[in-house]
Amino acid sequence: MTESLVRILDGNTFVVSDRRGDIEASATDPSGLFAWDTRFLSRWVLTVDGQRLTALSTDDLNYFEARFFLVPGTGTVYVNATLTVIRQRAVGDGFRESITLLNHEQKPVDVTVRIDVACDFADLFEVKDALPKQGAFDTRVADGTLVMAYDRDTFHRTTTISATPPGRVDERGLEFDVHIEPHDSWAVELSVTPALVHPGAPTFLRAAGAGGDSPRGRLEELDAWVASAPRLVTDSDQLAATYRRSLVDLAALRFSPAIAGTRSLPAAGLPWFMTMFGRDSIFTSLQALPFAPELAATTLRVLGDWQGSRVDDFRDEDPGRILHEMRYGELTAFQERPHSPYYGSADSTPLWLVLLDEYEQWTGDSDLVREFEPEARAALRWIDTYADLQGNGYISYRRRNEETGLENQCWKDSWDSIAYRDGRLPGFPRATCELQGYAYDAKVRAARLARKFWDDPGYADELERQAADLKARFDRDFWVEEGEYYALALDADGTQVDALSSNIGHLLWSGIVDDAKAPTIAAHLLGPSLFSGWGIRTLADDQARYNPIGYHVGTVWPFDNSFIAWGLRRYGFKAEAARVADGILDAAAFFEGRLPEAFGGYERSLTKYPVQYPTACSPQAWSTGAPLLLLRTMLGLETIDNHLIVDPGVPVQLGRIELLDIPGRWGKIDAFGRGLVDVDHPR
Amino acid sequence: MSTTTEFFEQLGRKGHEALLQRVSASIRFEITEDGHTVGRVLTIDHGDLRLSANDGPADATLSCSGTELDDLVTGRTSAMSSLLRGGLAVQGDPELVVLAQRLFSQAPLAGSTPHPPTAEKRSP
Repeated sequence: MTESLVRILDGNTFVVSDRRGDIEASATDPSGLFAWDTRFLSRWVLTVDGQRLTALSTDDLNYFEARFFLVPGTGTVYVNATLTVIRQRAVGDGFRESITLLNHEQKPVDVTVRIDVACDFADLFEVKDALPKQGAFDTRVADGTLVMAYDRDTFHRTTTISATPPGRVDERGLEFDVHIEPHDSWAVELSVTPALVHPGAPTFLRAAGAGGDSPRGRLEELDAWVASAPRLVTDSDQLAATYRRSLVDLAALRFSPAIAGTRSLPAAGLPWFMTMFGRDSIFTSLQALPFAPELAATTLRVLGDWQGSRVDDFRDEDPGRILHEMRYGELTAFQERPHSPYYGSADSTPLWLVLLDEYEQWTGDSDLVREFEPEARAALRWIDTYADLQGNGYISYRRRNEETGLENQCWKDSWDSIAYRDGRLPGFPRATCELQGYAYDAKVRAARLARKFWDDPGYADELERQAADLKARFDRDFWVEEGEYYALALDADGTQVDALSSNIGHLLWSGIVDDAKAPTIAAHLLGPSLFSGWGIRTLADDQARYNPIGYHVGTVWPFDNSFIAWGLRRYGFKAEAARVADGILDAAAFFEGRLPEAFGGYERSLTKYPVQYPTACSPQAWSTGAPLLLLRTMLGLETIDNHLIVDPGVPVQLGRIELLDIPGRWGKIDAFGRGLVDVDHPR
Repeated sequence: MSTTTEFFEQLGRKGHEALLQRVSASIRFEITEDGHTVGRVLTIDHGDLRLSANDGPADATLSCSGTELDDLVTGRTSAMSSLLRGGLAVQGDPELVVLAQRLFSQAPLAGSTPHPPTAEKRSP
């Protein structure tokens, strides 16, 4: 993604254009109008008298609305700077665009305004992989409307373009003869509407966005969303700005995944991942729980409804497994990709159980826990059976769909992310350490649910026995004696994959770390090889594959750090957690409050600013959620029985923090913290 | 026996589906085969199933061909793929479509890997 692109979105629909508002997509270029993982518009180019325009300024008014100020002509000399062109575009069931021309001359002008149009109906996967189309294209001009269609068997998609007032329409666009009096203006309203045109589809696959179709309705909805979150009062302007940015971006990333009605859950991120992901939606819901608990309810319900029910190698599906990713494009429709949904994730199932318990602890919504008892039990069975590929009592993964399935089914899913200290790559199955932590936490939490809500104390006892056994075995099998940390994974032989990685921080979050070893783990996390000064690197800088701009082998991930900070708090390392929070929040200021997916693992004293990872997605849901979780960890917010406990550990630099009206089973409560923890970063 | 007849007969005999314990709703199936449409309403009451031939309204209506139904029941296609392709049409509460998949065969898909060795051993 380059910063010269303008992106606006609403739910599953988004428009990516250049700074003039034009779209000129190539086979592999991600610009266009996208809805339901399909590009419904690949060309949208405005000309005046055959000339392209130059952008004077571009405003992202809101996440769903943008405005472009333009003049005719390109290059350094404007051919006609006495004419201004304003394009204003809002997403909602496709998009609406008004084009206004202002004549600054003292005489009338006559110009031809034209919009060139094309649709390639590419599936997002085709855009990523440059695949050819198999169906037929058709273009129809009728009643001043341009309809572009794509058909393949029973699969039909159309894009309809119309204008008010109407213009001349041909198969390649719309044209207007414009006469403007001196100091007067002319305007046209264009509408671009994508459609799935078979019966039954429109009701099921609404391009649902919150707040209805009008920009005003959506703006009011956005204001209401921000207002309903706890209010942050702080001495730090940076923190206040980051908090607001996070809330607004989280609003933008909300997505109604077809079966949830008007309820929404967090999609993973723009532009490739405006869809439901098990892992991302769960992590983001956990981060946002003290701020927007309704996201967690939808995530639990939708992922629970789609829980796997049969063994299917194509989708890597098993009974009880929680999905990895859902897609809605042509390749999914014809089962040329397995995302209907695809289940190849080894962590979404235990994490779903963790969220179920954490959600109940915050909200007191015991109905949901009772309703989804069968799904929860099926998820626990999956951990013990289908996930235990080696019969050694650990979750491990190996894809069964060898063509289009995912090789690495943990959050570090790039090809070289799981490696030995010396750089060798292990075979499959792989049992990464954090998966065992999640399984441990899931069992401990499910035991509470079984005892309290499922009326099954025997099952609760059994789950607690299993958890204790897992913790003891894990400590024995994963502990790397020589380095005094937990191995990244066990390989197919049960041998330790002995790299030192940020994954050991997730182990603290899950509670699987032996109390006596926790100080050593914390020391590694904040030590010079893992901690950059901005945050904890995905891989320690003395490991063979370390690369400060390697996707999962050296970069710093804000989401990763937020969960590690939570883990440090869990084991009582208040100052260490504050140090991580301070570094990540400092970094956020360099990105105007919008943390990217990842940034470089360079030493802070070396670069003085965090270097953005070249192709990181932004905004990305779990990066957007990171400042929220860091606020929680700095204030030390935890639930005990029906109460919210506040135990602040705020960095000195941040001064006073007040989080007002935190929603939960207690009604609404305020939390206060004063900056007393000296984190001592090099400046 | 046609797929449609077989599906409805099995559904009629089933009586209860544990995976639909939390569901109380009605689903109308409209299956078109050889030019004519067979309609049945399945009433679910906390997992208890009752099939009837009434024409009354339902919380969700699923319409498809007999061939498409066969693909759905055996798992050769998923409900989401079928919907996106235009093979399956839905009206009413979309959540019920997702849950209706639990009425289809739970058997491993033909050609898929058998359960891992631990699947039976460790299952509680």
